[in-house]
Amino acid sequence: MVKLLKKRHMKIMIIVALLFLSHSLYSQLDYEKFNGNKGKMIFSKTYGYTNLYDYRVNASEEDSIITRKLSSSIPEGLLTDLYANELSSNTKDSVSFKIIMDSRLLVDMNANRVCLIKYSTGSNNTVSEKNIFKAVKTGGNWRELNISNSEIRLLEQILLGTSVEVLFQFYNRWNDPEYPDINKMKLKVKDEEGILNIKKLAEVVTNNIAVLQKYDNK
Amino acid sequence: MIENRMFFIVALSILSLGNAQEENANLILSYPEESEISFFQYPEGTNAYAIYNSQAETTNMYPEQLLESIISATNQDWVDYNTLGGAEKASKKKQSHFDKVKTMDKANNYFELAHKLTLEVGGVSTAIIKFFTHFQETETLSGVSVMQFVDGRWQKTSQTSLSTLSIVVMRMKPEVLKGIVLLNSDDPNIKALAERVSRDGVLDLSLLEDEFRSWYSPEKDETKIELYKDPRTW
Repeated sequence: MVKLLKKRHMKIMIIVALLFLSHSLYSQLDYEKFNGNKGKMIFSKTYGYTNLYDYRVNASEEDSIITRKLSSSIPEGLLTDLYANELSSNTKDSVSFKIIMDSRLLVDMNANRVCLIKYSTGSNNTVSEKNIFKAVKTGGNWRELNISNSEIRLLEQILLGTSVEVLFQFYNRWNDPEYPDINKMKLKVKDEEGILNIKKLAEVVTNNIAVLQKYDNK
Repeated sequence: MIENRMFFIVALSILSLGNAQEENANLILSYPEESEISFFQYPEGTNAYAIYNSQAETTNMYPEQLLESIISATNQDWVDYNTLGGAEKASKKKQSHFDKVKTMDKANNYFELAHKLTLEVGGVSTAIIKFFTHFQETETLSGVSVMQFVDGRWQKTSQTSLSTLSIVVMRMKPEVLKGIVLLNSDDPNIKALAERVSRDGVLDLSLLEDEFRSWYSPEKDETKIELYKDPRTW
């Protein structure tokens, strides 16, 4: 009888020990405690993907002039959604409203692709000021982006203040003698690896609008 | 005839806009960020085990939970769920990998957590965790995971601008990393390093990257490697 009790006691002890072991192995970590002390850091974040596109490169009206609604699955289509009423009044024989596409900048920010389109609109004989339309691609689909952050605001400032050609002149490793002002300014906005710092570039663009405008139609 | 022509023009137009979207990168831009950064060294014996049986059990509310979710994942959908950008960005695992995870001894296959850096990147909470893999029949290896808090949960990511920092986080001795982040070390060698990689009391990542490169180039600097590199890392 005593032997039996001892055996049973031993069994219980083993089960308790096993339960304790499995609990200590698989119990959740105390995540709340994993906080460290704080310091400060500065770093330069390089965007994984950037593409600058000049709608005028193709020179065909179909690329730079939009007179009808396009599919909302692309950023240009989302832009046409904004002007759906105006565009719908266009007919085959008479175009009273058009979207004049200037340039587009695509930038990957975190897991999203942000698209900025510089454009103006034309109706009858008047052409509007240049505007920026923003879209973002998340989970494979594009949607209009109505909010901004400090990075996107800088990119808007840059795109609105310069032409594609001027931006490439800032970026190009070699100096084109036809752009003497930019050749001087580019030293202030690039790091040792030739990467354009958008904070510095936005500042230079804003402070030199008049100088840069003369290169617009080169 | 006119209709055909219109169709051709519209088709060309859609094709042209579509093609424009697929163009290769043609510009490199950067944005300077100042961020708060914190350093945490895990107590010895802090391990992340495969505690989940299904993706439905995970919440990934903490960076360490994401590591537990990663080591628990038994199908590709789960791997995609753990990855920022989903299926498009996730690494593709073979069925044999998932079969191994399903049958492995969970007590003897785990991540040993070493230390963690947390910072903000473009307003997004980011964590870099150094760990050692403990898998049966495989030698212990050092690893690092970069993750971001997006859509209410931590997700694994590969940020280009953080790739060098993540290697530094993995290779540096914890006391060295702590000393250069918090600028509070009394060790003269760590203090000297902290001065080299800081400007006005702020750790400058570009200086840190330059410093890290100087360990190996133009020639291997054994003294620096001995002083600052964790010998357990590759």
